[in-house]
Amino acid sequence: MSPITHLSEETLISLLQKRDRRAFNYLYDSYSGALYGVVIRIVLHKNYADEVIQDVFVKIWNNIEQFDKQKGRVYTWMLNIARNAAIDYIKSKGVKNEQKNQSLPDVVNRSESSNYAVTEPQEKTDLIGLQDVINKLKPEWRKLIDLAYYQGYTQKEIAEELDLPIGTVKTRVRAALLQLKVVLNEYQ
Amino acid sequence: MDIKEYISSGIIESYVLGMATDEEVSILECVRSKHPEVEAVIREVEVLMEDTASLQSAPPPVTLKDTIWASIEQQEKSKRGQSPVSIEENTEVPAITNSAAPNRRVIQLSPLAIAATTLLVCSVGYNAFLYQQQNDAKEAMAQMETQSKSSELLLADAYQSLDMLQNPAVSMISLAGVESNPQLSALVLWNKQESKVYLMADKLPSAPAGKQYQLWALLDGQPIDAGVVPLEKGELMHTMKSINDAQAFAITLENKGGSPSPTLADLRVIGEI
Repeated sequence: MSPITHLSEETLISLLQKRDRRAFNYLYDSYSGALYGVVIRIVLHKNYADEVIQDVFVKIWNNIEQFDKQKGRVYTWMLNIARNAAIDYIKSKGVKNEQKNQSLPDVVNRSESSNYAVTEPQEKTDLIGLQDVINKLKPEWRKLIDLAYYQGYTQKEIAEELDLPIGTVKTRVRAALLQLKVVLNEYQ
Repeated sequence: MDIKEYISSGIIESYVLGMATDEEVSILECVRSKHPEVEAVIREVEVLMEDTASLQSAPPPVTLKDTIWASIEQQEKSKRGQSPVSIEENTEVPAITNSAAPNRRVIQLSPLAIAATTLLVCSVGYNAFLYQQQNDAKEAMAQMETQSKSSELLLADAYQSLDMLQNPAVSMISLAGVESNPQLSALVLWNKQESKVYLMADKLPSAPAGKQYQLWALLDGQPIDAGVVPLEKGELMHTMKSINDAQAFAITLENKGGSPSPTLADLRVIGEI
């Protein structure tokens, strides 16, 4: 399932460190879809996502030297760069607060066919047709992952938003991810 | 908190999703280096999010690839004019470990300073974790101590009751629930020679807030106060007020502190001698 089917992470890193077109092609062909998928779920608009994804690849390219494989996997590292870039972008656009106010009350009750991602229906049209695994989770768990992963809420913010103790937020996040694992297994 | 509890607390998942607090992150950094099972769970959750991202892929517009390469090439060319490929200062890059702390500045530190800081943070964080563990252990021990003390008391109580039961001067009066509360019962042990009265009332439900059970001795139709039943649990057998003579014993539910005369509507159990 992982895009790295024929190159180990180590090979990819050493390839990237050579800084040539071949390395870039490989990086882009293997990861652009996954990274773009994360970015668009955060920024919700194709034109925003196009802007952010350029920034993401430049950051990966420029910072590969700083990647420490002792501390994690290169794919996770890239996903985090993409998430952070997208969340920062949304914040800098001032969209975030607007999103927060609009989204939360009705996330749970939204019909199954719609995306979990927030904002007004017409604003989510760019997400239509995307494969949506998170959407298969129980609504309240989907909401938790959405707030934490795609909207960058802190656990304190989530606790306040959902009116739950912080400890409960953590154990629910764990339960949500355990269910996500089951859902993913159905795809394999 | 042991490692199992640590893992099931959801801290690892919160960390991978980027919502853990700085304190939790620094503790986790240290715990992971000392506990391979924690490291394994972190990897597992990371792979889960990677697989999710792979499954939720969305292709960017085709033209973007060339656009991005063009801007990278441009940048590489302008750098080549200067010293070898160097990383720009102030480039914001999220530390791999700290998934979602937007706007975090990368502060340039010497490698030695970084190593020292990491060691310090690790030691502080790990100590916090150990301290927590130690506190949990202490708490558990204190709890066990209390438990063993209360079982000692119970045992002493039981011996005392046994002694009394074997004493021919002691009569045992079982009080049965009245019509409205047939399931209730209590037991009075009365040493007539010494006028001492003991009550076992563990079959009565806890008194509601503001209320208290009260024992009465009945002599020729007149109630005599034999004392209130202590509110705190623990003792199996309560020593009540001395009673010289009685034909029956009864318990009523009264306002906290007891009443001078029984509220008959709140009679719970009664037993004749």
